[in-house]
Amino acid sequence: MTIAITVLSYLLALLLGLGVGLMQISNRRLLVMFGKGYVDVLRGVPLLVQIFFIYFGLGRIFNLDRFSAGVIAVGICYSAYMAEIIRAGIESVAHGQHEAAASLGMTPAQTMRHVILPQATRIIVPPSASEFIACLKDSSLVSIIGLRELTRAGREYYSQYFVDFQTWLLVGVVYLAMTLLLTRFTRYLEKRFAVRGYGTGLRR
Amino acid sequence: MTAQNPVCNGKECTLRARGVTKRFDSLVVVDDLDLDVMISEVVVMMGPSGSGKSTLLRCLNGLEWIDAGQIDVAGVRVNPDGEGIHELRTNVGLVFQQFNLFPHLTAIENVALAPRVVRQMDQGLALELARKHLEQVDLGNKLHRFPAELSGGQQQRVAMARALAMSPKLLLFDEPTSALDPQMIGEVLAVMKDLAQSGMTMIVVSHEVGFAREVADRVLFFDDGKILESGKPLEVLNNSTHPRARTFFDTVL
Ligand SMILES: Nc1ncnc2c1ncn2[C@@H]1O[C@H](COP(=O)(O)OP(=O)(O)OP(=O)(O)O)[C@@H](O)[C@H]1O
Ligand SMILES: [Mg+2]
Repeated sequence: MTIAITVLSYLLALLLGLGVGLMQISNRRLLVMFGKGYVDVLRGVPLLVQIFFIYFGLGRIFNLDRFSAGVIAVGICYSAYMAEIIRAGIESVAHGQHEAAASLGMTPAQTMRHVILPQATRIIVPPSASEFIACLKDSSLVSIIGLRELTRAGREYYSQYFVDFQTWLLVGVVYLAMTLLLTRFTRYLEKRFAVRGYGTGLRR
Repeated sequence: MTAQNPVCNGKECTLRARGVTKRFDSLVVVDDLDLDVMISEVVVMMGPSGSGKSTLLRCLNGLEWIDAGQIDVAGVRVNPDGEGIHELRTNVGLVFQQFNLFPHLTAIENVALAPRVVRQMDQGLALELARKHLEQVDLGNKLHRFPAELSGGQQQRVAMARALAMSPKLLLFDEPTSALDPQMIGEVLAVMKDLAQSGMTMIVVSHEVGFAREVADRVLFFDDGKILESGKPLEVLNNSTHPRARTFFDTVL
């Protein structure tokens, strides 16, 4: 359950983050303002409050079940962080790259897809992976609306058998195991996405 | 619309620019400029730093919107309203001082990208075309190298192949050798000379006097957003009448 919530909300965060990140660098004032506002608001409100807001607020209106509400709340919250990471990645690509692509007749969308994003990925991947790990840990917060993920399962187990220390030790160890695994995976990704031609490990 | 060349002085030509003006806020960088370039003509443009040479090239390629005037190339007309600017970019190539290759792509992918994406050429054909142009710039043995694995001179030649792959009617060069180590300048100029001899129409901003003497059909002296001198290389380089041109060439030569 923890894994499902994390993966789904992270995918949502990635998609929304890409959209909002692109808005922030567009040349439409309104989109830029919206994007900046979105990021500021979501980063300024604690995730716990957002979960309540989505579950009791939007959840009532749209009749969302706990699972969807949890995924949406975590996904939206993390999309703000992802938007910042993606924006910074795109802005890190040299201005001459836009010009070179434009001078060849590529449209802004083609330039983004074939020239800018592939280069930005190299900047974006490492911090995105740490966001994923943070997302995994923060998914524990959705237990508050009654979703039976790892933390909640621990609580139920505890109230049944009254072995508190061992239960939480076990829960902690499981989280740690998952994050350690992910950290290893992150290192792998960093290597994988260290785009050739940028200096590291080049044949020459 | 068929690609119909503009007419300059009753003759078919490659570029016809009239009254082109470009301002940055109140600074006039290109000032009511007229320029005709004939088919297969090679024009070398010289002028002091900050005189607006790069800006003029960027207008001719459609990277900058012009504030007044019009530019005609191969049936495309660009006005200050920006219409046609995208077609202008696909018809006019630009080689940058800093190469601006795509660092995440190999040489052959750098060259094949625009034909594939802009001309919607099939991947195999685009790669074949790219190979042909890389061979043309004498890099047939470096097809799969990344830019960072190439010398400056080789990178600039890839950039030329990349521009050539779009079959431009006019190729612009903005100080193509001034970011290069001296020992690499020759190989780049040699490829440019080949191109000129193969009939490519070119405008080259460069202070390589030897290249101007040997390859140019015409040399322009550009200052303050205007063309102050225009003529045969030797006339302009050695016998300019305009005082500012005189001072400039005295320091360059
Ligand atoms: N995007 C811009 N915004 C504002 N001013 C600009 C911009 N680009 C160029 N300028 C100004 O326009 C003038 C001409 O610049 P340009 O780069 O065209 O000159 P140049 O002749 O190519 O000079 P150089 O020999 O140094 O390359 C300069 O004063 C420059 O500061
Ligand atoms: Mg310049």
